[in-house]
Amino acid sequence: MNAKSISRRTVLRGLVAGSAVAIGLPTLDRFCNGNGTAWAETGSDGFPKRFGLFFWGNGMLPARWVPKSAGVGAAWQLSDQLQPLAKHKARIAVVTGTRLGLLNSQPHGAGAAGILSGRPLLHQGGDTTFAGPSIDQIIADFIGKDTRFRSLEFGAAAGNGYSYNGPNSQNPPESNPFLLFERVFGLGFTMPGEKPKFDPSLGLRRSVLDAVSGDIKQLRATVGAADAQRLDQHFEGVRQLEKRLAKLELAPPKLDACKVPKAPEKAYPDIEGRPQLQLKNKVLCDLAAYALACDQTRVVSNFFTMPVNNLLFKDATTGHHELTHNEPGAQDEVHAITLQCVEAFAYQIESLAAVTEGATTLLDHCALMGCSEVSLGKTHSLEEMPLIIAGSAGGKLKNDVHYRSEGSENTSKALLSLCRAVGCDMASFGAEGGKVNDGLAGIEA
Amino acid sequence: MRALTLMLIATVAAGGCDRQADVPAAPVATLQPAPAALPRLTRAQYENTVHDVLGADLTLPATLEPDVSFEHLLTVGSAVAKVSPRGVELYEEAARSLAAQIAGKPERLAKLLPCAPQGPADTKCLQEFVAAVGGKLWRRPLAAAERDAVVATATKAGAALGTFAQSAEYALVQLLQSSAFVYRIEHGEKDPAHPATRRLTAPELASRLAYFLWAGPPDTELLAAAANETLQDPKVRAIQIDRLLADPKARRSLRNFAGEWLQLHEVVKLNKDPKVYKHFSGDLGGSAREETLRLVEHLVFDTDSDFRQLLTTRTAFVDRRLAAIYEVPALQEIGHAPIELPDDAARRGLLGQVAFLGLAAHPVSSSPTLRGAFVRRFLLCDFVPDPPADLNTAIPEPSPTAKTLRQRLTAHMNVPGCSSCHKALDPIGFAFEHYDGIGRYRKLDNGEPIDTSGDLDGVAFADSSGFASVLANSSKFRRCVTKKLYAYAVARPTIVSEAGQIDSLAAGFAKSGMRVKGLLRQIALSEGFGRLAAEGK
Repeated sequence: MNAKSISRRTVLRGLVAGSAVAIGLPTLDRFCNGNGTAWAETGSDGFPKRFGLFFWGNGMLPARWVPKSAGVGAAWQLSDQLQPLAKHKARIAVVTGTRLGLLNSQPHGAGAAGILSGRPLLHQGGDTTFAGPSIDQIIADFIGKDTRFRSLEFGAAAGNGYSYNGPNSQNPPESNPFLLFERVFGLGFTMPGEKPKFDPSLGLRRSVLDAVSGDIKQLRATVGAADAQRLDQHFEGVRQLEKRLAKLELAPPKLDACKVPKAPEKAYPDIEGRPQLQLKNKVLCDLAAYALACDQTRVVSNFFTMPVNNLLFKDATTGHHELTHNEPGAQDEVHAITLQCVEAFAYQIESLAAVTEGATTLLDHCALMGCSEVSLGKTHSLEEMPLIIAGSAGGKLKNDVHYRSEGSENTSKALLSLCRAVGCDMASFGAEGGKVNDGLAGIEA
Repeated sequence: MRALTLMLIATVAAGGCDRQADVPAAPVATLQPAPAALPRLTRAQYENTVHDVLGADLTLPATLEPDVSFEHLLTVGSAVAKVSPRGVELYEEAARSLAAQIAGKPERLAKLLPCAPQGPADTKCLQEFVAAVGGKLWRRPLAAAERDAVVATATKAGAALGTFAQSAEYALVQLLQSSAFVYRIEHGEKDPAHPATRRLTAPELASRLAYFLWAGPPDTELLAAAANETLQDPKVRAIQIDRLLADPKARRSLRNFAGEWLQLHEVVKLNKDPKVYKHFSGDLGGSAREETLRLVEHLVFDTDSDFRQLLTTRTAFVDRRLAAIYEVPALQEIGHAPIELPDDAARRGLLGQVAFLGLAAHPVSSSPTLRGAFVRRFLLCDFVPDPPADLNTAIPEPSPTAKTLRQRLTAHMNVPGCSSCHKALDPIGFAFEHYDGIGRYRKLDNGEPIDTSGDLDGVAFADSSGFASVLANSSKFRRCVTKKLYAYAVARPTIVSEAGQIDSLAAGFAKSGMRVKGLLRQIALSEGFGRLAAEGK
């Protein structure tokens, strides 16, 4: 698309917005648009809250996962399997002893739906889907409306991921770092604070979307209830994209933390049948950190690996899932793989902590939730769920704590705390056996 | 109200394997047609529509929202698939990329233009362009107001950007995101032959025929037969069906169906431990997928054979990778070529292929249970629940009394809670125990002779080739193929009141000597294919 002919009115609008940002804005206004209205709810230091998900498949080994003692600060120490987080102990909350209160109706699938959506897995026509949105999309509904991307999904071995908007509707993740880079920092990216290049296509794209949403509305009036509900979601998605494009036409203010990362390699091929999981994860996490720092999105989901994956991890003699079921004894190989998953999570924490935002870091403005779909992979157990939260969401969550739920509380309680910490006004989380009305006071600051 | 939601049957693992889901209680004499559905184009349909209408040389989007599987078919899942916020972004990116590829290359655009534009703001030519291309992309004529809405955007683009090509570009951007493109909309109309229910309109019928038989949009001739309503005449419908079946694009749809039915999208991702299976390489899955597709295509279109041969044939399409696994000579350096498998070996048809033997197995071993589940689920249309999640599913380690996998599983079969499913699945899988987890023949298991005998629902077999014959001749296999193809045709979950329709199609399939081409024709002609329930708007 070229920009030969530009309407005078639009140019003026762009320039006005552009020059407005040339004036240094006080920190508190950084995330406000030109009209002075907030881009979104911000923390006490003016930076918005962000949510991140780090998910790995096939669980852990509870006997080597749970720290020996509970408490805050010096009262608790990392367990064997949490050792890769040593550098970040002061920035994390480890939650143990919780359980999913749901029927384990399918190995791995039920646990994934449970821990990510708080709902039982929906079985339909011999296949399955989530019965409701996953936590990243629940949160994106609250904090994802004002950025260029409502949410970003990615992962070194993400497959189709688990970012659900509801039944039969998935946001597909990006596994190729180069494509994620192109998507965020390629064409269409404007450095916050720079005079936006006038792009006449933005207005045209909005006109198209406007017409498309009109179409959907008309069609909606002619179909039955189930299809109307499907079209409602489609309609809402189109409207949201339209609004986000409108935001691009306003010049977002300068963000000191924002920089464009180096473009990744075009491919990260497997080496002797082993995927380069850690390297891919690092590159993806760095891209995500800068997507957040540049306020291109406020919700990121990292599907590092998926349930039932049989990836050949470094040094493993066979695939991960295979080992969880068939490795006898204490499962040293499964242990070594779990450490690699936690190491990847540690890198994501690192990537957020490396970005300075105001007096603190990007990590301090995040709640990054790390979890898997089962605890002990061998038995697909939904007791003693693995859950780690990094960052304090602007001081709303406790850090350097091991919270041990003695009464086997519902895991959803921690998720409700997370949602509320990043600014979601929610009365409850989940449904049926996964439904809770209260958060987990032990991790709330 | 549409009935789809009523059919979202919650199946819970605790149900066990005793249930035979697919056998109707009693045949339904008169068809009660299903309510209209609103399928979202599957990825394959999206791609084929773009290529057929806009140009085969266009680069397709790398990502679209994933298809949804329902009754183990993606085309059936399209009736419940939604469009997520990310899906909206992806549709937009795809539309813009495709439109830019066309506007940026004059010869591409020229092929689509029915007129020569007189200057950048030639509204008349723009109208003709939108009517022509829009009618193909939307699979129906555009109403004047619809056409003008697209032209309005295009005119705005032309004014802002300065060229006719850019007007056309934005017309395409809009056409490709419209609900009339993304969904297969079927409202239906009054049915003169059945006043109590409805039938598809002629353009809707054309569209359903084309997506069923071509996995793509109707062409000009089919659209014309829809536009003048002649397609509603059964004779014209039959002529069009025969024309569609004779077109090479019919192979495309059959391959698409076979891919969905036999889970070939999973086969592509085949993952084996290379230390255990030295014949494994990352591209084996793609090679195995192509083998299966070639066999299906060969049986249906090259030779119009009895479809039982899918299971019993000795003809195999192998490339070098597969030849090494099957221990047969590779006839050519590159690609798949047909060979006859040796008569003295038991390897036959689909169930002798890596696509089955490798997919329904573990990364380090064979799995009679997974192979049995594959046969029951996909070839017999039986309901197979997931294994109970809370149980330890590990098979007992080899012992002096249970050395082979069969012996070890037989011990497992006696564990309460495991028995009902394993008894339904494992005896089928035992037939294939001469093939390891990648599909290579092995004489012994753990140094012991292998027992491949068993029975399928009471009919005995001695080995995998015997099993293949028993399965091929079972009425359940015949009905299962029929049901899968019927569901693929109507692109929605089948409903109970269609059981009689499926039974009668299965009977016709048997009578024809199990010719799939004939079955495709009968399905396209069937009442269930073209009629809709009265209810619904």
